[in-house]
Amino acid sequence: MKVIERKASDNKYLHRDFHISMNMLMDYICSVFGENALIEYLVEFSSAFHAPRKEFLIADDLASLESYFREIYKKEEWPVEILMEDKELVITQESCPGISHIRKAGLEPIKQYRETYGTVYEAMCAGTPYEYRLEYFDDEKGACRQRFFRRNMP
Amino acid sequence: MISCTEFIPAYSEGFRFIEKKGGRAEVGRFWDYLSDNYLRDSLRKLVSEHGIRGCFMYWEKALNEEAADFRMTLDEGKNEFRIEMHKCPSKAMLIELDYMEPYEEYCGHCPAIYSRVLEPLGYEYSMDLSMTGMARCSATVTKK
Repeated sequence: MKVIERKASDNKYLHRDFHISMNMLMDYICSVFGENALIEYLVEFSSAFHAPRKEFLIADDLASLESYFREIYKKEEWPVEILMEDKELVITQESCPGISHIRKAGLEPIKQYRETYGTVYEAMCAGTPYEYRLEYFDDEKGACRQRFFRRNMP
Repeated sequence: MISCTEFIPAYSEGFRFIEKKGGRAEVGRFWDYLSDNYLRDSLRKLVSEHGIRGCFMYWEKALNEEAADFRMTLDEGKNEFRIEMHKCPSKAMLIELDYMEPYEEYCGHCPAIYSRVLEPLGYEYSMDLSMTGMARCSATVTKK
C-alpha cells in the first residue's frame, strides 16, 4: 500500500501543463465556433477575471497594476523587465511562458496565441483612462513589448 | 498573457462560453476532446504501461504541482486507487474569486475526462461530488 498526504502549503502552485490545456481550449473554440468567437471569449474572460484590475485603472492606480504583473511573473518564475515611469507601464519579455511550455511539449501554439495578450489587456483597458498597446510580438517565442499608458499621451 | 496560475478562471469561463455558443452537449464534446488529446500521452500512457500504479504516478505529479491538499492511496493488492481531496486547488480558487461566478458544472469535467480514459482500459472511475461547494471531493479507481 502506498499513501501520500499533502497540505497545500507543502508545494508551490505551478502546474505549467495548464498552458497546454489553455491552448487546447482556445483551439477548440476556434475550430468549432470560428476565430471571432475566440476573441469574444477572451473579451468575456478578461471582463470577468480582470474586473479588479480595470478598477485600478479607472482609479488611475497604475502602481497596483504594476504590482499585479510583478506577482504574476514571479509566480510563473519567468524573467521579465517591468518598468514604470510617469503613468506608463512597460513590460518586456524575451519569451512567453505559455508558448515556451507548449513548444517544449512538442505541441504548436494556436496562431492566435498573441490574443491572450492583445485582446485580454485591450478589454481590461476599455472604459478606463488607459490604453494598451502590444508593440511587437514574436509568434515563435512570444517575445514582446507591452505598454499601458494614459490615453491622452502619444 | 494568461498565466498557468490564472488558468482555472479562464477554464471556468471557457466552459460557460462553450455552453452559451453550443449548449450543454457541446461542453461534453469539449471534455471528450480534452480527454482524448490532453490525457493521451499522460494518464492513458501511464495506466497502459503500469496498470493501476499509473494512476498514482499521474496524480502524484499533477496534484503536487497544483499544490492540492489531499490524501492519495494505492492498494495494488485490491487494484484500487483513491484520492481524498481535502481542498481542491481549482475549485477553491473559483470560490475565493468571489467577484466571479464559477461555471455551474465546473467539477463535472473531472469524471468526464478521466472515466473516458480509464474505462476502455478496464477500470471504473467514480467520484463523490457532494461536497464540491467546500472544494472537497473523492475519487476511486478500481479494476472492473
